[in-house]
Amino acid sequence: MTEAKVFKYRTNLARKMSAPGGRSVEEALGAADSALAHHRDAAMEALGVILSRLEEACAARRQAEIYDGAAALLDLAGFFDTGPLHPAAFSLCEISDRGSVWDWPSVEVHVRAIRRILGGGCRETDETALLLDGLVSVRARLQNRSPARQN
Amino acid sequence: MSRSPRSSARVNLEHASVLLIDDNSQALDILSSVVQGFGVREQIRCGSAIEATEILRRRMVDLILVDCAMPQMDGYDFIRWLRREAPQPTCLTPAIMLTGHAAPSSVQKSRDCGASFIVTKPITPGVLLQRILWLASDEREFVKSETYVGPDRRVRNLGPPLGVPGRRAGDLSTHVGAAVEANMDQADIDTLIKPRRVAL
Repeated sequence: MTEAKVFKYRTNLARKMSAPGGRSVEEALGAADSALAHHRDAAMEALGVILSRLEEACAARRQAEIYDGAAALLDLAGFFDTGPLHPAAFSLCEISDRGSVWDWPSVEVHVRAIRRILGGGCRETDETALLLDGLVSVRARLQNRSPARQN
Repeated sequence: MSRSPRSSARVNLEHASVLLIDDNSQALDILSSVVQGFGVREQIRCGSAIEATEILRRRMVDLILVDCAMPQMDGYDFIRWLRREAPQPTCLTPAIMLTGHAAPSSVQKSRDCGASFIVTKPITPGVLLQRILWLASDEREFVKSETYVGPDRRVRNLGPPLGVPGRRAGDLSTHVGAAVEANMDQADIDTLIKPRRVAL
């Protein structure tokens, strides 16, 4: 086996960022936040479209599309403060990832919960807190099920 | 640990070129706006990792932001290509991987691919900027071995770079720092390294 080479290096990024100039972190974050805000409405609309596709896949029992749909939700929602939507989509990713025990009723419960959360403007309410608690229980129940009992 | 950089600090990305890679055009637009807000003037946007490899064969960039889940070549395979097959010194380029769902099935892949950082969504501009600032003062060495190529993964004891919020009292550093005492006299140095006969 060849020996590992370990060496110090200084990147161009470090060199350029250490040059005088630029803007304050406060200015940079302010500009980034306001740029992000311009995308929010379009992103929420896109989340609705992704969710509709997920509902169709669920109704047609197209298992292969569920994880990709959930991951697409999470990817886009992950740029914004979408409150309870993020943990719900994350939970759907977890139960539909390869290696998980597949259970359509659990998937359906997740998809319906995400629809309710999105319909409510992703606000954190008592109802969404209950929904998330329910999803945690569903996930825990699935994780406790052995693959042998899957069918 | 503080999740946002100090607001009084300065960030200079005016002359940095940043490569953004995401197959979702909307996510690419969002990321591009955030990075523009940070002051980056030169952005190269790619809708696929394969397109990005073609660009990197031709030119250098200073920072890469890549989404993890993409068809054909995903973010992990792209970083692996960058570290092992991209020309020098492009292979050393700092690369931040963004991931929505860190699937248990890809934990090992993410650990071994050689990314400078893997940032899990939800991601705020504050978190992203903090990681970029960390990269600017990254003290980690670069490791090239048969099984791993990338920044040293053993960061647990080093903590965030010096001067970055979040360092703990016990964090180590590879930073030598400026001398605080007067230089030793050359004669003293010569005496220290002069071979001497030792009576045993």
